[in-house]
Amino acid sequence: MYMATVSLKNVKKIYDNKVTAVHDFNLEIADKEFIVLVGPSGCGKSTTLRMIAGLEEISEGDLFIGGKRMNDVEPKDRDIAMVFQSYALYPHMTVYENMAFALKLRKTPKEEIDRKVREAAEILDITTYLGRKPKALSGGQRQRVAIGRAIVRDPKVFLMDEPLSNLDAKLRNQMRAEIIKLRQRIQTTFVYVTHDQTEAMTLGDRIVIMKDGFIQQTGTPQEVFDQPANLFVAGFIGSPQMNFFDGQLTKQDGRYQVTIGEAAMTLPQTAQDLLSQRGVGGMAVTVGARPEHLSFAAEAGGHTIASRVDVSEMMGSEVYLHVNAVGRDVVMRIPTTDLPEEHRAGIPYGTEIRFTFRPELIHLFDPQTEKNLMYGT
Amino acid sequence: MILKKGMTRIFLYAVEAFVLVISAFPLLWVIVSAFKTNGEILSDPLALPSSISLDTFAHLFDTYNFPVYFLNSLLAAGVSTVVSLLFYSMGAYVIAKFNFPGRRLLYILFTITLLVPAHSKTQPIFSLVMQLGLYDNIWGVTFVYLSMGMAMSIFILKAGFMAVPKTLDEAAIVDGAGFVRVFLRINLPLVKNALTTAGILMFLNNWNEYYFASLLTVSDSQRTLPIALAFFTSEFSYNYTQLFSALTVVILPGIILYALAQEKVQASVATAGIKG
Repeated sequence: MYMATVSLKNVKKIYDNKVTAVHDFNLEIADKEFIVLVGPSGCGKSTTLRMIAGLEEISEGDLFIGGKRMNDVEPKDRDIAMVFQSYALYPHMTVYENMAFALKLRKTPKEEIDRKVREAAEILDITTYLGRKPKALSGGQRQRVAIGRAIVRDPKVFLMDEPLSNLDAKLRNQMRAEIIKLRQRIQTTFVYVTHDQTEAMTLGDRIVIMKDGFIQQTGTPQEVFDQPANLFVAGFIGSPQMNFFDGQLTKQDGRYQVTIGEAAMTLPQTAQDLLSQRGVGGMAVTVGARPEHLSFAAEAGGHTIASRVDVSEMMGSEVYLHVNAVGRDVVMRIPTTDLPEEHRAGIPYGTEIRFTFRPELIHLFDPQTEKNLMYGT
Repeated sequence: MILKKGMTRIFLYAVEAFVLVISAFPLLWVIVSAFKTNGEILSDPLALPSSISLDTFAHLFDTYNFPVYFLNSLLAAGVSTVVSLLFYSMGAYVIAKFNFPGRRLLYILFTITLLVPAHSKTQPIFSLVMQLGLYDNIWGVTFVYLSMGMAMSIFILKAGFMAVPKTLDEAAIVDGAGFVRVFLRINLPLVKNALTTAGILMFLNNWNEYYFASLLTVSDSQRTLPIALAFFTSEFSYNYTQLFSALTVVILPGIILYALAQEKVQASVATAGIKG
């Protein structure tokens, strides 16, 4: 059985104008794994995907698909299929012809083409549109055809370049669910590029977070969420974004303590162990706390911080509370049921409140290197 | 406000009507006059014919070598258009879609020929045709026509190819299409409008071309319609009906062709205007 592993070893992309788009990219993708490359625009994620597809030349390093070096292999011989952001359907061909095109080029027998196209159309629920031209389809339908065109090929590696970004929010959620279903049906290796961290979190077995052509972190969605390697990953993954505070890490009698403004807290045992293993001493730190890990404090003292409410956004089941604390904008995400009775109807601007941290859920970063002091590599 | 809008509209229609009349009237007049007798034309130039008869056309084809002139014109204009479109589309495709050193220079060199008057190339073209042994041969004329309209065609076709998204090429490449297939199966069908426009412009120019046809042919059997017409003008100086029917034969194919492809031409000119 052919194993559709993809392996990128020290892959680099340098453009003619000497701009390096991807630096030393290393990644081992297992057979049938769903990998998501995510990052802001210009981070090199699409370039990496295009190098796997063979649409961009690899400047340095090696690409292996199924154990075979593919650097100089034509895209058509790489056994890959790709779905483009713009769908890239051939406007002069019907849906059927679009899906059959690749098979025709491979001189597949007519009956087999017909069977495969109809099968794929069935899976994607586009059978009724087979005779139509792409311009007579809606955005969602076009995206299905683009996916259909890729699955009829029965590729070993399925590449998707921001396939959902041209769809409206509702359709995007729906298609995201469909991709998860599709993935369960066609057992193959996926490499998926997106700038949307929600897509990355929900779809990927593993996520590769990129910035400025460098991999920032590779891990499962839970890993990158719970143990972000650096400030960038911490800020990029999770919505609303993680809050950052200037703090001070101190070590007294072998115990680590963090102070943020007036709040002081002793770190839990796991954090104590991780920090001392790494030989971290007392230092200025950037403390990260996710909006959902901050909560109201009824009274002052301990590790509570005073703040003033700027905006409260009622989302129904929860409230996004934008407050100003220790000179920073801080967002808290609080379940409506946890709100004090008097604040259920909304919290007016300027209200003084106190909030508190959960010491076991805070992240500590080195402000200089921006690395996570407990988990960074 | 409504009055102002109405006035603008009236003005627009007036301008449109004026343009329509000055461009269409001469053509109509020629065609209508072809059905009138000489007397009718001379006594009342603007009147409609008293009866419709195709005799003069029949006479034209019977008496003169008209079918030969017609075929010669069709051959010279038709073959040159089809063959050159094939080559120009390839050139325009490469210029539009691929980055290579000297691309801009090449494109400028192609289009700069727009600025060189055809007559200034008379001598080299004449000696080339002579040396090829194609003097007084309709193929010699066809050969010269092949190179005419290059700048315009490349300009129009390049705009057409540039409007075809690059991702379509990439999708086709991933689907397994090579260079030739990406060109023939994806790009060429998608620049149909540009091809039609370039083709029509080239065909009409070559169909009406007089200068090189008169320079490079002498015998009756190699004449194209415009050359034949020049001979008619002197021969028919007393017979306007014959002259107008001959003119009708010359102008009608062009009008029909343009009428059939008019939408595509308009669409393509719009794209060339925006993206060229």
